[in-house]
This record gives sequence, C-alpha cells and structure tokens, in this order.
Amino acid sequence: MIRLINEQDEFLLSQLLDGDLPAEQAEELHRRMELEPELRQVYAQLSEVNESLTGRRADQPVMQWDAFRREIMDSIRIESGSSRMPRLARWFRVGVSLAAAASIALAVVIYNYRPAGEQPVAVVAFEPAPEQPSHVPQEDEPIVIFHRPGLMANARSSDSAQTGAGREVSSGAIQVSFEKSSEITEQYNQRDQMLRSSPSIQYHVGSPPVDRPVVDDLFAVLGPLG
Amino acid sequence: MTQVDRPLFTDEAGQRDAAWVQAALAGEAVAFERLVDLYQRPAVGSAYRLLGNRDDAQDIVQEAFLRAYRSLDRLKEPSRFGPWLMRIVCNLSLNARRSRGTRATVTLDEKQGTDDRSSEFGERTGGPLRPEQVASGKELQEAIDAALETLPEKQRLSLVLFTIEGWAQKDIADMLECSIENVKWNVFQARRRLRVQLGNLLPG
Repeated sequence: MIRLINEQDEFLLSQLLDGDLPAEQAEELHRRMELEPELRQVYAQLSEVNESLTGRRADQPVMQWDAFRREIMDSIRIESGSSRMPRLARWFRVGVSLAAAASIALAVVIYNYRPAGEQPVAVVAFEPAPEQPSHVPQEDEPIVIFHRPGLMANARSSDSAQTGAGREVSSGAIQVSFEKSSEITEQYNQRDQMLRSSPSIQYHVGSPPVDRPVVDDLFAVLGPLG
Repeated sequence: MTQVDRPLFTDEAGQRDAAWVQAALAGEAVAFERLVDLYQRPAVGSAYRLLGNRDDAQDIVQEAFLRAYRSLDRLKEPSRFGPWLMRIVCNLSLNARRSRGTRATVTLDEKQGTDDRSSEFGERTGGPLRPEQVASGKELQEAIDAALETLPEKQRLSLVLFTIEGWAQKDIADMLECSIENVKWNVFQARRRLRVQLGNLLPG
C-alpha cells in the first residue's frame, strides 16, 4: 500500500533526486526521511522510476551521421535549387510509386476493353462545361485533364476550354497532366513538381465508356498527389 | 543527446550559431551544414524518444531542418537557432504521434484509476498496476512505457527530454518556451503519475 504524502513534500523529493535542492534543504529532507517512513518510501519509488528511465539513455538509434547529414543537405540543395521543392515524405514517395503502378494497370484494363467500331460517349469533366460548339474528337485525340476536383476552383475558365473539360469523348486517350495550370497554389506547385517533371499519364478511352466513376478512380489513384 | 545534463544552449553556443545562421543566410551552404552537423544527433535522439522509431525520427528531423532552412530569414534571434530547431522537432514529433494515434487522448474527465490520490489534486492518473502484471526488469520497462503513454503531453515531453534524453532543464525551458520552474514541475508531475500508476510494483 502506498502511503499518502503531501504533494509539496513529494515535489521536494523530486528536486532532491535531481540535485536541485540547496544543501541545507536537502539535509533537512534527509533528516525527515529517517523519521518518516512514508517519505522514505516515496523517495525510493521515485528513484526506481528515475533509474528505469535514465537507464534508457544508452539506447540510442544507430545512425550513419555523415550520410544523414549529406541527405539533409541534399534535400536542402534541391529545395534551394528548384523553387523550394520540399522533401517528399515517405508516404508520398510510396504514394507516387503506387499511383504509377495503379495507373499503368488501369490503362491496360481500359485499353483492353476498347471495341472495334463502337463509339461510346463519356463525360470526363467535373464542372459544367463552358458553352462551346459540340466537339467530336478524332480517334486517339488526347483529352487533357489537369485539375483534380479540389483544385477546380483554382482553374481558369480558359483552362477549361484549353483542356477540353466537359467535352464528350467518344474514344481516344485521356491524358492526365499537371503541367498547364497557372493559378494553382504554391503548395500544390511544390508537390506537383515531381509529376510535372515526369511524362504525363495516358489513359485510353474505349468501351465501356469512361464515365465519372472511372475518372473518379483516376483521381483517387492520384489523390495523394494533391 | 551527446552532452548529457549539460546545457547545450549556452551563450557561447548562441553566438556561434548566430554567426552560422548569418553565414547561411548569406548563401554559405557549409554554414548551415555545420548547424546540421551540430544538432542532428540531439534532434534525432529526441524525436526517437518521442516516436519510438528511428525511421520516423529521421523523417521528422529532416523535415525539421528543411523547415528551419526555409524560415531562417524569419528567425528573429539567430542565437536561438538551437532551441528553435528543437522546438520544430518536438512539434513535428508530437504532430506525428497524434496523427498516427499512438497516444491515448488524455482528458481531465477520464479517470482510469481508482486511486483517490489522483483526485486529490484534480488530476487524472492511471490506477496502480496489479503486482501480477509486472514482475521485474523488462516487464517493468514495458509497464513504464505504457504509463508514459498516458501522461499529458507536456509532462511526457519534459520527462522524456530531461530524464531519458538528458537535456538540461534550461534547454528544455528554451525549447518549450516556458520557465525552468515549469519544467521541474512537469517532470515532477510526470514522475508522480508514473509512481502512482506503477503502484505496488515499486519498492515499498
């Protein structure tokens, strides 16, 4: 059974443990401990807890410090040399790899469904299209979508026209590109840096139609990038 | 931490850091590299204690140096680079802990234990562990680990940095932007909660 002692006394014991008490006060506390078993007991318990914790100091992570320093400096050089590109977090690096793999798989699946002579129609935009003449794309004409749903507010109407958002697509390729947005946020620009330096991802449209759920899937794949 | 129990953030260190910060701002990459070289060990050590994982600690520290580099021109007192960097490391570590949900949320309304002393000062503490839960050695360490997780953030941070990582109280106060007395009090409260939670497993 742990006996109750005054909180102030326990604070003094804690300070005694850390060597923070003036000599006179420390002596007084030691004298009291000889007479008061409760104080002695609590001091012993605090000491035990303290020793268990200080015993962990030796448990230090094993590191190659020179290599780690170089890694940090490399990321800083990238930062200062390429418009402040932040270091890509592990989850982001993994996300990019997964996104690339998933994109390839998706492209293969969609491409394999492509029919001969069939002209399915699919709407690939998330935003009402600006009024424009009906457009009938040619076979394999790339349709560029550069914005994700969360970024639509940043897109200019001219971007929409330029990229063909809202067009009806009969067949061809959907190109997901992050290259053409001019008014996206700086943060997005930073995260987008790697993708912009990579080739765009192509999605071939065929049958069944690339409808909104499929496009949602595309953006779900690319979700972490935003 | 390489300088156990000795203040790292001395006036001399501050002057040296200020010079390196100014040089780094002037474009000397090697000056910032010196700062990295100096602080990477204590930074990784502290992040490691808070996160319990070396890889996570490395990520956090690298991110912290990057943020420090980006904001270097906004550092009002270049001599305070060390505490400032460590504050970034601690904040990022705590955020990472929160985001991965490893720490149980502690509220004053929750009361895990039945020990009346916990309510004596209006505090929440876990109840004493039963003797059969812990025998000694490794099990005691595990019990302490579990108890550490239940501590309020600032108490845990103060205890870990001071007792395990060996930072001087003054340095912790600089990092956490509080008084030394506040650090002492938080360390004490943390120890006290651990003592109560470990209960009969401790000498008595």
